[in-house]
Amino acid sequence: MKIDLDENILVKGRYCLTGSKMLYNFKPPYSAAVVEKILKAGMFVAVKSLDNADAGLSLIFRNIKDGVNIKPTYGTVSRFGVIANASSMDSVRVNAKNLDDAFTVLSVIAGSDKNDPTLYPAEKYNYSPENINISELKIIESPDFKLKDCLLPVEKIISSAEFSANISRFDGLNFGFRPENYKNINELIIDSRSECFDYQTKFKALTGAYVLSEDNFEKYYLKAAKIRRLIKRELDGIFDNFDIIALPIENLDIAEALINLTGFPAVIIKDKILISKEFEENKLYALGRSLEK
Amino acid sequence: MSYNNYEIVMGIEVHVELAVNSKLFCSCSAKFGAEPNENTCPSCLGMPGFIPHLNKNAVELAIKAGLVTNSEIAERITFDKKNYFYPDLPSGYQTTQWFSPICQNGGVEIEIKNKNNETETKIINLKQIHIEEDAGKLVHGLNQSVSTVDYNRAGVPLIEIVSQPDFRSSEEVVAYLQKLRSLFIYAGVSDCKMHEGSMRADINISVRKIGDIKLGTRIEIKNMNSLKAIVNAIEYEKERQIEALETGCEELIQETRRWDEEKNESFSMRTKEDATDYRYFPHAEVMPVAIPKEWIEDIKASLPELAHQKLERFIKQYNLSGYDAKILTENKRLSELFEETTDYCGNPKEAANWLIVELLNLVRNDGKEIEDIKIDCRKIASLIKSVLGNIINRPSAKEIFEKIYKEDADPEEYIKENNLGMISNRDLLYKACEEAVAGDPDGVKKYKNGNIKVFGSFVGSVMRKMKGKANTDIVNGILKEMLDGDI
Repeated sequence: MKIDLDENILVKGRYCLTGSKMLYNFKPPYSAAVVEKILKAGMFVAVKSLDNADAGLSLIFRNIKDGVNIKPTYGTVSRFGVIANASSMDSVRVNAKNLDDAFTVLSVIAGSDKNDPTLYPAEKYNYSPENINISELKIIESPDFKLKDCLLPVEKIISSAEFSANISRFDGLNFGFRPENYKNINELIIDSRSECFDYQTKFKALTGAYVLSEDNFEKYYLKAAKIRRLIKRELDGIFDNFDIIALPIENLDIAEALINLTGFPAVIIKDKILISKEFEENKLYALGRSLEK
Repeated sequence: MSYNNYEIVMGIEVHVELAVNSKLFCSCSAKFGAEPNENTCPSCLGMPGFIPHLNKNAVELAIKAGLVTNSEIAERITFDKKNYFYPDLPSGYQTTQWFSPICQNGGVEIEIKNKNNETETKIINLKQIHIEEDAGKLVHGLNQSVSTVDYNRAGVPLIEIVSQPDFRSSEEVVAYLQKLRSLFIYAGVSDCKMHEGSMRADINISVRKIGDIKLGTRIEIKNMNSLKAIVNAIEYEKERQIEALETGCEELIQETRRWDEEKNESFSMRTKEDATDYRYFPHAEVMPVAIPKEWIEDIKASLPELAHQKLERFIKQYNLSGYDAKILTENKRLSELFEETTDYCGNPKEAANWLIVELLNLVRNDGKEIEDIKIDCRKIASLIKSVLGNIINRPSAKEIFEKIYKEDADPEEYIKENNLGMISNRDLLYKACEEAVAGDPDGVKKYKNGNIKVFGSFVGSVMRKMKGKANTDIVNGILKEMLDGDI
């Protein structure tokens, strides 16, 4: 099986084509843990477009026609060698044509890794739909909960904040792009970042710096972090009574915010986003499979 | 101008590099003195994709630092990111503990002399101790347009000890820094070498009229790494600030100042207005660490004998005076040299004397620290035995001690080679004494009139005749007999 990687998953000795000029000449001297695991399992990796993918790994959901996407429980797949975006949310995800392929790949990459001490301790996860009786699953569609309207702003604030710090390492100094002429250190840093980051990146980094600034920290970041905990609590409450939350694909942005903020796993399949509580990927697998048919 | 109605108020932030083998978040060596950038890896160079691995040993040493400063240890610690751009900071943020420091509310007891030259103790209260990573080091080349960076220090674990504004004089500051140094070296927290930068101090200084409750406008002097510079900077700032308040010649503003050791002046670096907004926030990649009571108890039990415990033991075990025991135990290495020397020579009083008087003097004159010198205690012991066995006299022994210190000389060989064996032949010495007394009738008169100080000049005269090798005990006896008797 051939696996296509998104460009923010690093491969040793191979140029990193993040689409940003910043890393145009950066050849990492290490491979991401997921790459090592894939190779060890006898699969191949390619880092090209995702068009002809059998299966693909990325940090963000890419809308593949007729495909599926798994976002595993946060903390089950190593982030070593993955360019950090928002550290408290980043999960390596799997895109594939069908759920069997996707879970086959996930079973290879999930599990503990000596280079990522933030992972749950389980060495391996066994993904299988076999022991789940889908007729017994309690599903709630588009649940209404108090903090629903907070999902998007809270996710934006926290992810921007984390993103702004994570991309500070791209400063033109030790690796990657460096401008030709600069008068001093400040100019070197400012010019390389100005030249290499696109509008979206700059906007997100500035948003992050803004919500973390001394005057705004409590008002935005701290408040968002508190609401994030309340959101998690509220959703844990929903999962006390239900196995799966199913959202229509039209609510993708809300669903993404929800799984990013809570760490819950999800499966995106056809016109549905299925979400369960942590480590219940098999319920998503079983229900998703029934929808594939 | 009289400055007596002002007092200086200071708080100190001390950075201490922890005595660990590896860096705070990667496995690179944390040792000082490697080739530039030898101790680096993609992780501590800030390359993308690394998840920090917290060095548990660093946490343990920080707990030790908390224990020896009577601090409260947190039950759970977290880490935060402090954001700023600078070439010595490869990831663009420093990992530190902004929101939940590992230790709080400690206190360090210092001893200082009051106006009447009596020793008083004072407690310096600590706000907190927190763990953080060090930054790299910028090296400015001969060519002004090029600077290079050595990242060996980047990621080396530090603790920062933040005091309350409890200091009122430079003497207190020095006593505090020496006390911290002694505590941390004893507990194995750090080697605290100021000249290597493993101990550095930022000092906040303000002045106010005595009796005022409100603190004055404070300035901060960063990265001080010598006691001499610290004292000079404090005295300079005290004068500058009082003069500014008294004469209005300068407006005091909250700012960071740099101390120029050569010019003996401080200069403004940046004011509060252009201070960086560090945008502190929780580090999502370093997991919180729980510190259970049992762990603290284990660490407490593993603490080696500390200075105050050793002091009591020295007094008891070696029958030393409190004064000698205190000097010997203030410095861990000196206390070790003492015990080793005593083991070899069997005479603690002599060992203490030679180390306190001769060794400390030689080290001080060299401008060195006891930790930096090498000396063979077996040789000191052999020298002491030669003195006690009446083989050499004390002046010769002093000369040999210096040779041991400077050239690692072997005392037995040195005595032989230089023919320093003591002359104890009573007849020979008697003759020399007779000549000395006969040669100085004035001196004899003075002595008889009660000026006993001249006794020394008779001893000196005999010594010269005997080329410095006379047995002083015998000479003293003979001279006393002669001068006190009727001649």
